[in-house]
Parts: sequence; structure tokens; C-alpha cells
Amino acid sequence: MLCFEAMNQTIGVGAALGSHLARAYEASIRELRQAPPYTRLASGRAARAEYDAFVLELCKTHSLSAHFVAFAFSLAPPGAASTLQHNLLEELGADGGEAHPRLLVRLLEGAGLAHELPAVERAGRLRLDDKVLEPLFYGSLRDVGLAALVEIVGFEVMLSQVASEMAGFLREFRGLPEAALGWFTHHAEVDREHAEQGQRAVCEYAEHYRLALDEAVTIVDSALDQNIYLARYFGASAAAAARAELA
Amino acid sequence: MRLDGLAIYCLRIPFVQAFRHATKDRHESDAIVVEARAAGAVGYGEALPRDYVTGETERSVVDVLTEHAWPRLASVELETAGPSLLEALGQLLDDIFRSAPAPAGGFVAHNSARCALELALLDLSLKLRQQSLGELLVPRTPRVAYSGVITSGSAERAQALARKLVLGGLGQIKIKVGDALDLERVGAVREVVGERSLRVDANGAWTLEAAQDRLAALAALGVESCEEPLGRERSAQLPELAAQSPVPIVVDESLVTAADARELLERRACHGFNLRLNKLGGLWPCLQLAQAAARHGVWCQLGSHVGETSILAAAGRHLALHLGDLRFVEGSFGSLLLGQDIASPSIKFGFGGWGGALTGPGLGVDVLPERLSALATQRWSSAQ
Repeated sequence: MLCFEAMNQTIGVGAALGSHLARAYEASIRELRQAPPYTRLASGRAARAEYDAFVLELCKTHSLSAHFVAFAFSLAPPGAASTLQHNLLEELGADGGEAHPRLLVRLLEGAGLAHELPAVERAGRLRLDDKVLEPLFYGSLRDVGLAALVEIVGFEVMLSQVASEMAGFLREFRGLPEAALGWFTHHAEVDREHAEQGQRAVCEYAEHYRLALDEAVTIVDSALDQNIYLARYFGASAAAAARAELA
Repeated sequence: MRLDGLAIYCLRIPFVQAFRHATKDRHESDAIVVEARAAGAVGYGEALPRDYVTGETERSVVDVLTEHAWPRLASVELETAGPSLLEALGQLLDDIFRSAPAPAGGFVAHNSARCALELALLDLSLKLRQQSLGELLVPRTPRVAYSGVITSGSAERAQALARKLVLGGLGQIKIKVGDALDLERVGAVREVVGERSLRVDANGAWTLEAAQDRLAALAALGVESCEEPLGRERSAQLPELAAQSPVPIVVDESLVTAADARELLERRACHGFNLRLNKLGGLWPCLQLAQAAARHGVWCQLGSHVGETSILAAAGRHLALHLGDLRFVEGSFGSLLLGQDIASPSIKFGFGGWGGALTGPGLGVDVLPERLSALATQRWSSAQ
């Protein structure tokens, strides 16, 4: 009887979680696009140093993305495994395309920031170290994995909507050549599909691991407590300012 | 050991989420980090001045450290080793701050400034000998369980936070009270957390009559203790409240100095002491107060200030493990609350609220100088 009740709690979690997730992502993306540091870049009102800082922080954020996708892939349920495997192969350039870290190096080179590569690599390693060394708030890999997946998919969803715009302002206002913008082009074109698959993967995950809806929603909301896009690309202050304005 | 220099960083670190209680809404940490240098080593300490607690401000802390403490420290030969290191530092800092000028307003004590300096000098001294603070404050327990904290706000919001704490396995939860929604909020949290330990903190928001009413209702919700029901200005009424309250009374803002402690103990004004490093002046004063409390049958808990970075979190961890018998332990939120911590890894608790020993040299915190610089809004250096 208890088992039957527990099963009932998870039936339909996917659909309800999917709409909650979509709303949460859309709210975060809206905050990003309305945040002053972003609108300055998008409108061409930013100084050259602001464009350079954006490029640097973006490269720091994504330089070790493959590690995080690999972690999510290792926990992926059957229904989501192929999506995450495809993502991972793309990140690594094992699908016939160029490896994403290489695309980021071309972005740095195109912006004349190749000398910052060691700092970018150090920041990536530091973020990875923190993830590995800091105590885990959740008590199971199931919960830790969902939190990680929510963040990974969150960036795919955002980039599928915003990457073209980012490439556009870097081309137009910072004068970056097309060859440097491959990372954005790739995410804008390819990740539209990934984004949808990714959101389905989150729901698959929650159903497969029998998370109750309130547990899954709590983990999603905690993962997106801070605006992850603003926090990574513009710093914690920009993220906090966006939330304060919302409140 | 003679100091080569002292630097002070006034930080602004945004929170992941705003933190609300009866007297203040906070969106960022305003921690002050003190950096002490000698013989190629660097030690770090931290202050979080609270004008409504010690009467200190960011300005007063910087002023007393730069204009009063540093000129006296610069020429002193500091002790660097031995079991009496903490006591020797304690006496030195007592001497220095006893003669410090009091800023205008409701000043109580220079305890935040004292805490930052004590921790920086201790961290430095221990690092010079590659010794952990755990060798001085030997742990009496291998790990401590931290409490979660639910801030003021709607019952719905409190339930969402409570669900997160339950998923994180925390067994003890403190709820901020002191507004019209108190009972609704505590009742809502109780629904979510089941039998887990609940306690409340009023931050001095109540009159004696209000406290008596609320505590009777809160007792029915299984609240285990109430922190600072009346506030420092009404602390004369604490013995009357403590004598009849169905919920044990813990003093916080009413306990800032050794004189406060003596009076509270003599008048049987409370059941528990909330020890906070920043509020009480550092490790040495906290150890002394814990001993005094034990002699009078008063229990202790370790509190924290909202916005503590890994420096104060680490010092608190050492103290909690050393004392071993604290009723509740708070702090070590690290990057769970701070948008960015100044240390890597961030000192924070894990699942179940558990935090274990820190074994690295000094306080056991790896402060990242580039983050300190990036988060600082003001910087002072003795070399300037």
C-alpha cells in the first residue's frame, strides 16, 4: 500500500515539473535580458572593457562544461541518457564538430584576450575544485544530480534564445570576427533542440528517480535561487540586484 | 614575532537571497577582513559590525583598528606558540581595547574589531608554525550539527525554505519571529518539518507582556527555546520572564560584555547563552563566558552573524568542536548564502547540517586574495 502511494505521488510529476521549470527558466532569462550590465552590452552603450569582461567571464563559466555534463550523464536515467550523451560528445568535439573549449579559445583569441587563458583555466579549475571539495547540501546523488542537471539545462535553454543576440553585439559593438563567434553560433543553432530535450530530460530524471513533486520543485527553486546567468557572466552583485528589483 | 603590516578590507558580498528579521533586512554581507602579515605568512580575521548589538559600525571598526590598535601592535613582540597563545593574545587585546576611545551613540564594546584582530593574529601565529587551531582548541566531538534558519516573511515562503532544509537533512531549525505573522509562520513550518527541533529568535521585538503571550502559544507548537525576546533595553525584565516562561529563554543582544554575563547569571535571567564570536570579541572571551555559564548551570549555543564568510565560519567550527556540548550550533552557511565566498573551498555545512574538523594551518581557511580585492569597497593598509 505504501509503495503504491509512493508511486502515485510520482505519476505526473514530469508534466507539472516541466511547466514549473519552463517558468523558472523564462523568469531568469528575462532578468538577464533586462539587467543593466546586459542591456548596456546589447545596446552598444558599454565600454570595450565591459565587452572584454563579459567574454572572459563567459569563458570561465563554460571552460569545463564537459565535466559537469559528464557528471549529469553518469546519473542519467535511460530516457535521458541519449540526450546527455549527445551533449557530452558535442562538448568534447567527438561528434565531428569542434570541441567547445577550443571554440572558447578562438573567442579569446579573436578578442585579443589569449593572454587571459591561464586565468580562465584557473577559474574553471577553482569552480570544479569547489564542487568536489565543498560538502554537499543534499544527502543523495539523486538530489545532487538533479540540481546539476537543472543548471546545465538552464544554460542550454538560455543560450538557445540569447546566443545569437550575444554574437550580434560582440560582432557589431566589439568588432569580433565571425571566426571568433563559433561558440555562440553553435549554441544558438544546435541548442534550440537541446534545450527542449534538456527540459524533457529533467522531467525524465525526476520521474525515474521517483522524486515527489515538492522535492523536485524545491531542488529546482534552490538551484535557481540566484540568477545563474547574471551570477556567472556579471558577478553575484548583478544577480542580487536583479532579484532585489523583482522583490 | 613582530608584524610587518596590517591591511583591512571592507567587503560587500551580495546574498543569494535576502535575509529578514525583526530589526533588519539584509541583502549583502558587510564583513570586514583584517589581514596581518609577518615573516612571509598571512593571517586573516573577520568582523561584522552591528550597531544594534555592540554599537560598532564599519567606520568605528576601521578607525579603532587603524588609529588605536595598529600603532600599539606595530611595536609589540607577539607570542607565536604554546598552549597559552590564546590567553596571551586575549590579555594583549584586552589591554589595547580597554584604552580605546568610545564612538558616539549607543556604543557598548569594540568587540567586532577585537574579534577580527584576535583571529588574524591567531591565524598568523599558527600558520608560522604550520599548526592548526585544532591543536590549541582540541575537538571534544568529531563533528557538529548546524541549524537551518528561516527568516521573517510569509508562511508560504517559510514553508518553501523549510522544505529545502528538510531535503538538506537538517534536524534543527530556527525561525525568526517578532511580527504579526509569528504563530502562522511557526505553525506552517511545523507542518513541513514534523518532529524536527524548532526554536525562535525574536531579536528583541517583544515587550514583556507580548513575550508572555507569544511564548505560551509557541510552547504549544513545540518550540524548544526563544532567543532574545525582550532586547537589551528591556533586559531588566528578563528574570521575571525566565522564571515563568514555558519556553527556555536564551540571551543574545543582551549578552555582549563580561559584565552583562555576570549580571545575567546572578539574576537568573536566562536559561541559555548565545555565544557569537563577533559579538563577544573573539574566541578567548567566548571560552571564558562558556566556562562562567557552565558554573551557573546555564547552557550555551553558538550563534552566527548573517553574512559571515569562511573566516568566522572556521573559527566558529573550531570553537563548537572544542566546546562539544553546545545545545545548538549556527553558521557555516558559506556559499549557501553568500553570492561568492572569499575562500576556496567555502567553509560550510553539508547534508544533515554536519560540519567536521578543519585541519589546515591556522584557522584552516584558504582565503583567495584576488576575491578579497574584487569584493572590497574600501581598503586600508599600514604600508600606505
